[in-house]
Amino acid sequence: MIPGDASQLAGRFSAAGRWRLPSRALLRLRAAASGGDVAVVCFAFSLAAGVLCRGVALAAALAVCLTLATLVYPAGLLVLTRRRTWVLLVLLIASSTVVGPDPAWTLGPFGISLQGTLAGAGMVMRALIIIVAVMGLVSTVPIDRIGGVLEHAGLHGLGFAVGVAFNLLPLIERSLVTSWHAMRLRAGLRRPFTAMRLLLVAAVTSSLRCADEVVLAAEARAFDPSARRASRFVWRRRIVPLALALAVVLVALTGMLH
Amino acid sequence: MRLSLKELTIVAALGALWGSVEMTLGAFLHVLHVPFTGAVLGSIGICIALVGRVVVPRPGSTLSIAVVAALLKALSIGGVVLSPMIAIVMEGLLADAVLSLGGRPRRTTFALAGAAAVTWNTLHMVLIQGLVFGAGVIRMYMIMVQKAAALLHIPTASVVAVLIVLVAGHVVAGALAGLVAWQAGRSVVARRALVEIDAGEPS
Repeated sequence: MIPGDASQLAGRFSAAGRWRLPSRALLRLRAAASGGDVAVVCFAFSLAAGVLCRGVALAAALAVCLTLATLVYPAGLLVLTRRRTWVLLVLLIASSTVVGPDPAWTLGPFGISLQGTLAGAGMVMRALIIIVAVMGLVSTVPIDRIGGVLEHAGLHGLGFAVGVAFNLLPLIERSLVTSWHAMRLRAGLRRPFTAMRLLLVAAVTSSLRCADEVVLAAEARAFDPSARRASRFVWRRRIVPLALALAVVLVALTGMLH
Repeated sequence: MRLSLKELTIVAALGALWGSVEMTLGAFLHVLHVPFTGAVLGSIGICIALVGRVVVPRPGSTLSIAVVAALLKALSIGGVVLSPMIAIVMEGLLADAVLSLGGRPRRTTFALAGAAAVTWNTLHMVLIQGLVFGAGVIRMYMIMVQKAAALLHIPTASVVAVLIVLVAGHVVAGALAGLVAWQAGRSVVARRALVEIDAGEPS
Protein backbone atom coordinates (compact mmCIF):
# COMPACT_ATOMS: atom_id res chain seq x y z
CA MET A 1 0.00 0.00 0.00
CA ILE A 2 1.42 3.37 -0.95
CA PRO A 3 0.49 6.12 1.54
CA GLY A 4 -1.67 8.93 0.15
CA ASP A 5 0.99 11.57 0.71
CA ALA A 6 3.53 9.53 -1.25
CA SER A 7 1.29 9.15 -4.27
CA GLN A 8 0.48 12.87 -4.09
CA LEU A 9 4.18 13.67 -4.17
CA ALA A 10 4.79 11.26 -7.05
CA GLY A 11 1.86 12.85 -8.90
CA ARG A 12 3.26 16.34 -8.32
CA PHE A 13 6.65 15.41 -9.75
CA SER A 14 5.23 13.46 -12.67
CA ALA A 15 3.00 16.43 -13.56
CA ALA A 16 6.12 18.55 -13.84
CA GLY A 17 7.67 15.94 -16.12
CA ARG A 18 10.64 15.38 -13.79
CA TRP A 19 9.58 12.02 -12.38
CA ARG A 20 9.02 8.81 -14.31
CA LEU A 21 6.24 6.48 -13.24
CA PRO A 22 7.62 4.12 -10.55
CA SER A 23 8.60 0.70 -11.80
CA ARG A 24 7.07 -2.47 -10.44
CA ALA A 25 10.16 -3.15 -8.29
CA LEU A 26 9.89 0.32 -6.75
CA LEU A 27 6.21 -0.19 -6.01
CA ARG A 28 7.05 -3.53 -4.39
CA LEU A 29 9.75 -1.86 -2.25
CA ARG A 30 7.31 0.83 -1.07
CA ALA A 31 4.68 -1.82 -0.32
CA ALA A 32 7.27 -3.61 1.83
CA ALA A 33 8.13 -0.31 3.52
CA SER A 34 4.51 0.15 4.58
CA GLY A 35 4.83 -3.17 6.47
CA GLY A 36 7.35 -1.45 8.71
CA ASP A 37 10.60 -3.42 8.56
CA VAL A 38 12.22 -1.77 5.50
CA ALA A 39 11.22 1.66 6.77
CA VAL A 40 12.62 0.91 10.25
CA VAL A 41 15.98 -0.29 8.83
CA CYS A 42 16.29 2.82 6.62
CA PHE A 43 15.27 5.04 9.55
CA ALA A 44 17.89 3.45 11.83
CA PHE A 45 20.57 3.93 9.14
CA SER A 46 19.61 7.60 8.64
CA LEU A 47 19.64 8.27 12.37
CA ALA A 48 23.07 6.63 12.82
CA ALA A 49 24.47 8.44 9.77
CA GLY A 50 23.13 11.80 10.98
CA VAL A 51 24.68 11.36 14.41
CA LEU A 52 28.03 9.75 13.46
CA CYS A 53 29.08 11.57 10.26
CA ARG A 54 30.85 14.93 10.09
CA GLY A 55 31.95 17.30 7.32
CA VAL A 56 32.13 15.82 3.80
CA ALA A 57 30.91 12.46 5.11
CA LEU A 58 27.77 14.20 6.37
CA ALA A 59 27.10 15.64 2.92
CA ALA A 60 27.51 12.15 1.40
CA ALA A 61 25.24 10.72 4.13
CA LEU A 62 22.61 13.35 3.29
CA ALA A 63 22.72 12.31 -0.38
CA VAL A 64 22.35 8.61 0.54
CA CYS A 65 19.52 9.29 3.02
CA LEU A 66 17.57 11.46 0.56
CA THR A 67 17.93 8.74 -2.09
CA LEU A 68 16.68 6.15 0.41
CA ALA A 69 13.76 8.39 1.34
CA THR A 70 12.82 8.83 -2.34
CA LEU A 71 12.83 5.05 -2.81
CA VAL A 72 11.28 3.88 0.46
CA TYR A 73 9.23 6.66 2.08
CA PRO A 74 8.77 9.59 -0.33
CA ALA A 75 6.12 11.05 2.01
CA GLY A 76 9.02 12.05 4.27
CA LEU A 77 10.24 14.43 1.53
CA LEU A 78 7.00 16.42 1.80
CA VAL A 79 8.56 18.21 4.79
CA LEU A 80 11.00 19.81 2.31
CA THR A 81 8.10 21.45 0.45
CA ARG A 82 7.10 23.42 3.58
CA ARG A 83 8.27 27.03 3.66
CA ARG A 84 8.59 26.90 7.47
CA THR A 85 11.27 24.18 7.26
CA TRP A 86 13.46 26.28 4.94
CA VAL A 87 12.95 29.47 6.97
CA LEU A 88 14.12 27.59 10.07
CA LEU A 89 17.16 26.12 8.31
CA VAL A 90 18.19 29.45 6.73
CA LEU A 91 17.82 31.16 10.12
CA LEU A 92 20.01 28.47 11.66
CA ILE A 93 22.83 29.01 9.13
CA ALA A 94 22.49 32.81 9.45
CA SER A 95 22.67 32.82 13.25
CA SER A 96 25.54 30.33 13.25
CA THR A 97 27.41 32.59 10.79
CA VAL A 98 26.88 35.60 13.04
CA VAL A 99 27.83 33.98 16.35
CA GLY A 100 30.70 31.83 14.98
CA PRO A 101 34.33 32.31 16.12
CA ASP A 102 37.04 34.38 14.29
CA PRO A 103 34.84 36.58 12.08
CA ALA A 104 36.46 37.14 8.66
CA TRP A 105 34.37 40.23 7.80
CA THR A 106 32.11 42.58 9.71
CA LEU A 107 28.63 43.68 8.65
CA GLY A 108 27.47 46.48 10.95
CA PRO A 109 27.43 45.16 14.52
CA PHE A 110 27.73 41.55 13.29
CA GLY A 111 30.81 39.51 12.40
CA ILE A 112 30.68 37.03 9.51
CA SER A 113 32.44 33.80 10.44
CA LEU A 114 33.29 31.21 7.77
CA GLN A 115 33.79 28.59 10.48
CA GLY A 116 30.33 29.43 11.86
CA THR A 117 28.78 29.07 8.39
CA LEU A 118 30.35 25.62 7.98
CA ALA A 119 29.13 24.58 11.46
CA GLY A 120 25.64 25.86 10.54
CA ALA A 121 25.69 23.93 7.26
CA GLY A 122 26.61 20.79 9.22
CA MET A 123 23.69 21.32 11.60
CA VAL A 124 21.32 21.87 8.67
CA MET A 125 22.47 18.68 6.91
CA ARG A 126 22.10 16.65 10.12
CA ALA A 127 18.64 18.18 10.69
CA LEU A 128 17.55 17.38 7.12
CA ILE A 129 18.64 13.73 7.49
CA ILE A 130 16.79 13.31 10.81
CA ILE A 131 13.63 15.26 9.89
CA VAL A 132 13.13 13.42 6.57
CA ALA A 133 13.77 10.02 8.22
CA VAL A 134 11.41 10.66 11.14
CA MET A 135 8.62 12.10 8.97
CA GLY A 136 9.07 9.25 6.50
CA LEU A 137 8.87 6.58 9.17
CA VAL A 138 5.85 8.13 10.88
CA SER A 139 3.93 8.61 7.63
CA THR A 140 4.77 5.14 6.30
CA VAL A 141 4.17 2.96 9.36
CA PRO A 142 0.47 2.98 10.39
CA ILE A 143 -0.56 4.09 13.90
CA ASP A 144 -1.87 0.63 14.85
CA ARG A 145 1.62 -0.83 14.23
CA ILE A 146 3.23 1.87 16.37
CA GLY A 147 0.59 0.99 19.03
CA GLY A 148 1.55 -2.66 18.59
CA VAL A 149 5.23 -1.89 19.18
CA LEU A 150 4.37 0.03 22.37
CA GLU A 151 2.17 -2.89 23.45
CA HIS A 152 5.12 -5.26 23.05
CA ALA A 153 7.26 -2.79 25.02
CA GLY A 154 5.03 -3.38 28.07
CA LEU A 155 2.00 -1.10 27.61
CA HIS A 156 -0.48 -3.99 27.30
CA GLY A 157 -3.87 -3.34 25.74
CA LEU A 158 -2.74 -0.07 24.19
CA GLY A 159 -3.89 -1.08 20.70
CA PHE A 160 -7.40 -1.65 22.09
CA ALA A 161 -7.26 1.64 24.02
CA VAL A 162 -6.25 3.62 20.90
CA GLY A 163 -9.09 2.02 18.91
CA VAL A 164 -11.65 2.86 21.62
CA ALA A 165 -10.27 6.41 22.00
CA PHE A 166 -10.49 6.99 18.24
CA ASN A 167 -14.16 5.96 18.25
CA LEU A 168 -14.97 8.00 21.37
CA LEU A 169 -13.48 11.24 20.00
CA PRO A 170 -16.69 12.67 18.40
CA LEU A 171 -18.82 11.76 21.45
CA ILE A 172 -16.37 13.38 23.86
CA GLU A 173 -16.00 16.51 21.74
CA ARG A 174 -19.79 16.88 21.61
CA SER A 175 -20.15 16.45 25.38
CA LEU A 176 -17.33 19.00 25.96
CA VAL A 177 -19.12 21.58 23.82
CA THR A 178 -22.45 20.84 25.54
CA SER A 179 -20.91 21.27 29.02
CA TRP A 180 -19.24 24.54 27.93
CA HIS A 181 -22.52 25.97 26.58
CA ALA A 182 -24.49 24.83 29.65
CA MET A 183 -21.98 26.54 31.94
CA ARG A 184 -21.97 29.73 29.85
CA LEU A 185 -25.79 29.95 29.75
CA ARG A 186 -26.01 29.49 33.53
CA ALA A 187 -23.47 32.32 34.02
CA GLY A 188 -20.94 29.85 35.39
CA LEU A 189 -18.01 31.68 33.76
CA ARG A 190 -18.19 34.64 36.18
CA ARG A 191 -15.76 32.81 38.46
CA PRO A 192 -13.28 31.43 35.89
CA PHE A 193 -11.21 29.22 38.22
CA THR A 194 -14.28 27.46 39.69
CA ALA A 195 -15.80 27.27 36.21
CA MET A 196 -12.70 25.52 34.83
CA ARG A 197 -12.70 23.01 37.70
CA LEU A 198 -16.41 22.27 37.22
CA LEU A 199 -15.92 21.98 33.45
CA LEU A 200 -13.09 19.51 34.05
CA VAL A 201 -15.27 17.40 36.38
CA ALA A 202 -18.17 17.49 33.89
CA ALA A 203 -15.89 16.54 30.97
CA VAL A 204 -14.20 13.71 32.87
CA THR A 205 -17.55 12.38 34.19
CA SER A 206 -19.12 12.34 30.74
CA SER A 207 -16.00 10.65 29.30
CA LEU A 208 -16.19 7.99 32.02
CA ARG A 209 -19.91 7.50 31.24
CA CYS A 210 -18.95 6.86 27.59
CA ALA A 211 -16.28 4.43 28.82
CA ASP A 212 -18.87 2.58 30.99
CA GLU A 213 -21.09 2.10 27.93
CA VAL A 214 -18.16 0.66 25.97
CA VAL A 215 -17.29 -1.69 28.87
CA LEU A 216 -20.90 -2.91 29.07
CA ALA A 217 -21.00 -3.57 25.33
CA ALA A 218 -17.61 -5.31 25.38
CA GLU A 219 -18.47 -7.49 28.39
CA ALA A 220 -21.81 -8.46 26.81
CA ARG A 221 -19.81 -9.82 23.86
CA ALA A 222 -17.29 -11.57 26.19
CA PHE A 223 -14.51 -9.43 24.75
CA ASP A 224 -11.05 -9.89 26.27
CA PRO A 225 -8.42 -7.33 25.22
CA SER A 226 -5.55 -9.49 26.46
CA ALA A 227 -6.61 -12.30 24.10
CA ARG A 228 -6.06 -10.06 21.08
CA ARG A 229 -2.71 -10.23 19.38
CA ALA A 230 -1.20 -6.85 18.75
CA SER A 231 -0.22 -6.00 15.21
CA ARG A 232 3.57 -6.17 15.06
CA PHE A 233 6.43 -5.79 12.68
CA VAL A 234 7.22 -8.90 10.70
CA TRP A 235 10.98 -9.16 10.35
CA ARG A 236 11.64 -10.95 7.08
CA ARG A 237 14.86 -12.61 5.96
CA ARG A 238 14.99 -10.50 2.79
CA ILE A 239 15.61 -7.47 5.01
CA VAL A 240 19.04 -8.85 6.01
CA PRO A 241 20.87 -7.95 2.71
CA LEU A 242 19.48 -4.40 2.88
CA ALA A 243 20.53 -4.03 6.52
CA LEU A 244 24.03 -5.39 5.76
CA ALA A 245 24.44 -3.12 2.73
CA LEU A 246 23.41 -0.07 4.74
CA ALA A 247 25.78 -1.09 7.58
CA VAL A 248 28.68 -1.27 5.05
CA VAL A 249 27.73 2.18 3.67
CA LEU A 250 27.63 3.54 7.23
CA VAL A 251 31.07 2.13 8.04
CA ALA A 252 32.43 3.59 4.78
CA LEU A 253 30.90 6.99 5.56
CA THR A 254 32.21 7.09 9.13
CA GLY A 255 35.60 5.82 7.82
CA MET A 256 35.80 8.98 5.69
CA LEU A 257 36.38 10.85 8.96
CA HIS A 258 39.78 9.24 9.43
CA MET B 1 1.45 -3.58 33.91
CA ARG B 2 -1.80 -5.27 32.82
CA LEU B 3 -4.97 -3.22 33.05
CA SER B 4 -8.44 -4.76 33.13
CA LEU B 5 -10.99 -4.10 30.40
CA LYS B 6 -12.69 -1.43 32.52
CA GLU B 7 -9.40 0.30 33.36
CA LEU B 8 -8.25 0.18 29.72
CA THR B 9 -11.51 1.76 28.58
CA ILE B 10 -11.17 4.54 31.17
CA VAL B 11 -7.59 5.12 29.95
CA ALA B 12 -8.93 5.28 26.38
CA ALA B 13 -11.73 7.73 27.28
CA LEU B 14 -9.43 10.08 29.18
CA GLY B 15 -6.76 9.79 26.46
CA ALA B 16 -9.46 10.76 23.95
CA LEU B 17 -10.42 13.73 26.14
CA TRP B 18 -6.80 14.96 26.30
CA GLY B 19 -6.40 14.28 22.56
CA SER B 20 -9.55 16.25 21.69
CA VAL B 21 -8.36 19.20 23.82
CA GLU B 22 -5.02 19.08 21.97
CA MET B 23 -6.69 18.88 18.58
CA THR B 24 -9.31 21.61 19.12
CA LEU B 25 -7.98 24.10 21.69
CA GLY B 26 -4.36 23.32 20.74
CA ALA B 27 -4.91 24.03 17.04
CA PHE B 28 -6.84 27.22 17.95
CA LEU B 29 -4.08 28.54 20.26
CA HIS B 30 -1.32 27.67 17.77
CA VAL B 31 -3.14 29.48 14.96
CA LEU B 32 -3.54 32.59 17.17
CA HIS B 33 0.16 32.33 18.20
CA VAL B 34 -0.81 32.68 21.87
CA PRO B 35 2.35 32.71 24.03
CA PHE B 36 2.97 29.79 26.42
CA THR B 37 0.59 27.52 24.47
CA GLY B 38 2.63 24.53 25.62
CA ALA B 39 2.19 25.43 29.28
CA VAL B 40 -1.58 25.98 28.91
CA LEU B 41 -2.17 22.75 26.97
CA GLY B 42 0.27 20.82 29.17
CA SER B 43 -1.52 21.96 32.33
CA ILE B 44 -4.95 20.97 31.00
CA GLY B 45 -3.67 17.68 29.62
CA ILE B 46 -1.76 16.63 32.70
CA CYS B 47 -4.77 17.60 34.83
CA ILE B 48 -6.89 15.11 32.85
CA ALA B 49 -4.19 12.43 33.09
CA LEU B 50 -3.82 12.93 36.85
CA VAL B 51 -7.60 12.67 37.32
CA GLY B 52 -7.20 9.39 35.43
CA ARG B 53 -4.58 8.30 37.99
CA VAL B 54 -7.10 8.91 40.82
CA VAL B 55 -9.76 6.87 38.97
CA VAL B 56 -7.32 4.11 37.88
CA PRO B 57 -4.75 4.04 40.73
CA ARG B 58 -2.22 1.82 38.93
CA PRO B 59 1.38 2.63 37.96
CA GLY B 60 1.56 3.34 34.23
CA SER B 61 -2.04 4.57 33.87
CA THR B 62 -0.95 8.23 33.48
CA LEU B 63 1.64 7.25 30.87
CA SER B 64 -0.93 5.16 28.99
CA ILE B 65 -3.37 8.10 28.89
CA ALA B 66 -0.56 10.30 27.54
CA VAL B 67 0.42 7.75 24.89
CA VAL B 68 -3.21 7.45 23.70
CA ALA B 69 -3.49 11.27 23.55
CA ALA B 70 -0.18 11.49 21.63
CA LEU B 71 -1.29 8.89 19.08
CA LEU B 72 -4.58 10.76 18.60
CA LYS B 73 -2.59 13.99 18.15
CA ALA B 74 -1.20 12.36 14.99
CA LEU B 75 -4.69 12.85 13.51
CA SER B 76 -4.44 16.66 13.84
CA ILE B 77 -5.42 18.88 10.93
CA GLY B 78 -1.79 19.85 10.30
CA GLY B 79 -0.74 16.22 9.77
CA VAL B 80 1.76 14.32 11.90
CA VAL B 81 3.11 16.72 14.53
CA LEU B 82 5.99 14.87 16.09
CA SER B 83 7.33 17.43 18.54
CA PRO B 84 4.03 17.89 20.48
CA MET B 85 3.57 14.09 20.44
CA ILE B 86 6.96 13.63 22.11
CA ALA B 87 6.12 16.42 24.59
CA ILE B 88 2.81 14.73 25.56
CA VAL B 89 4.48 11.36 26.12
CA MET B 90 7.30 12.93 28.15
CA GLU B 91 4.79 14.82 30.33
CA GLY B 92 2.93 11.56 31.01
CA LEU B 93 6.18 9.71 31.69
CA LEU B 94 7.45 12.32 34.17
CA ALA B 95 4.11 12.53 36.01
CA ASP B 96 3.90 8.73 36.18
CA ALA B 97 7.48 8.44 37.45
CA VAL B 98 6.87 11.01 40.22
CA LEU B 99 3.60 9.34 41.27
CA SER B 100 5.13 5.85 41.21
CA LEU B 101 8.14 6.96 43.26
CA GLY B 102 5.97 9.02 45.61
CA GLY B 103 4.26 5.97 47.09
CA ARG B 104 0.72 6.42 48.46
CA PRO B 105 -1.26 8.98 46.40
CA ARG B 106 -1.30 12.34 48.21
CA ARG B 107 -2.05 15.95 47.39
CA THR B 108 1.69 16.77 47.50
CA THR B 109 2.74 14.04 45.09
CA PHE B 110 0.04 15.11 42.64
CA ALA B 111 1.26 18.73 42.82
CA LEU B 112 4.85 17.54 42.29
CA ALA B 113 3.83 15.30 39.38
CA GLY B 114 1.97 18.17 37.70
CA ALA B 115 4.92 20.54 38.24
CA ALA B 116 7.43 18.03 36.81
CA ALA B 117 5.26 17.37 33.77
CA VAL B 118 4.52 21.01 32.87
CA THR B 119 8.13 22.12 33.52
CA TRP B 120 9.19 19.71 30.75
CA ASN B 121 7.74 22.26 28.26
CA THR B 122 10.51 24.74 29.09
CA LEU B 123 13.22 22.17 28.32
CA HIS B 124 11.41 20.46 25.45
CA MET B 125 12.32 22.86 22.63
CA VAL B 126 15.99 23.07 23.62
CA LEU B 127 16.36 19.29 24.03
CA ILE B 128 14.54 18.44 20.80
CA GLN B 129 16.61 20.97 18.86
CA GLY B 130 19.73 19.58 20.54
CA LEU B 131 18.75 16.09 19.34
CA VAL B 132 17.99 17.19 15.78
CA PHE B 133 20.69 19.80 15.18
CA GLY B 134 23.36 18.47 17.56
CA ALA B 135 25.02 19.96 20.64
CA GLY B 136 26.29 22.90 18.54
CA VAL B 137 22.88 24.53 18.58
CA ILE B 138 22.88 24.72 22.41
CA ARG B 139 26.30 26.43 22.35
CA MET B 140 24.98 28.78 19.68
CA TYR B 141 21.99 29.72 21.86
CA MET B 142 24.31 30.44 24.81
CA ILE B 143 26.49 32.73 22.69
CA MET B 144 23.37 34.43 21.26
CA VAL B 145 22.04 35.11 24.78
CA GLN B 146 25.40 36.65 25.77
CA LYS B 147 25.60 38.77 22.58
CA ALA B 148 21.96 39.92 22.90
CA ALA B 149 22.57 40.91 26.53
CA ALA B 150 25.66 42.88 25.48
CA LEU B 151 23.77 44.53 22.58
CA LEU B 152 20.88 45.61 24.84
CA HIS B 153 23.30 46.67 27.61
CA ILE B 154 21.75 44.38 30.21
CA PRO B 155 23.77 42.02 32.40
CA THR B 156 23.72 38.33 31.45
CA ALA B 157 22.48 37.60 34.98
CA SER B 158 19.21 39.40 34.13
CA VAL B 159 18.66 37.03 31.20
CA VAL B 160 19.25 34.10 33.51
CA ALA B 161 16.78 35.63 36.00
CA VAL B 162 14.14 35.86 33.24
CA LEU B 163 14.71 32.18 32.43
CA ILE B 164 14.37 31.26 36.12
CA VAL B 165 11.09 33.21 36.34
CA LEU B 166 9.88 31.36 33.22
CA VAL B 167 10.66 27.96 34.73
CA ALA B 168 9.10 29.00 38.08
CA GLY B 169 5.91 30.03 36.25
CA HIS B 170 5.70 26.59 34.66
CA VAL B 171 6.30 24.89 38.01
CA VAL B 172 3.47 26.89 39.63
CA ALA B 173 1.08 26.19 36.71
CA GLY B 174 1.88 22.48 36.88
CA ALA B 175 1.49 22.29 40.65
CA LEU B 176 -1.90 24.05 40.38
CA ALA B 177 -2.94 21.57 37.68
CA GLY B 178 -1.93 18.72 40.01
CA LEU B 179 -3.92 20.15 42.92
CA VAL B 180 -7.01 20.72 40.75
CA ALA B 181 -6.67 17.16 39.42
CA TRP B 182 -6.47 15.74 42.97
CA GLN B 183 -9.64 17.60 44.02
CA ALA B 184 -11.54 16.91 40.77
CA GLY B 185 -10.46 13.27 40.73
CA ARG B 186 -11.74 12.67 44.25
CA SER B 187 -15.10 14.28 43.46
CA VAL B 188 -15.37 12.20 40.25
CA VAL B 189 -14.64 8.99 42.20
CA ALA B 190 -17.21 9.98 44.87
CA ARG B 191 -19.86 10.68 42.21
CA ARG B 192 -19.17 7.38 40.48
CA ALA B 193 -19.46 5.52 43.79
CA LEU B 194 -22.84 7.20 44.44
CA VAL B 195 -24.06 6.29 40.95
CA GLU B 196 -22.94 2.67 41.43
CA ILE B 197 -24.67 2.47 44.85
CA ASP B 198 -27.87 3.88 43.27
CA ALA B 199 -27.63 1.26 40.55
CA GLY B 200 -27.16 -1.43 43.22
CA GLU B 201 -23.64 -2.44 42.19
CA PRO B 202 -21.17 -1.01 44.75
CA SER B 203 -17.54 -1.26 43.62
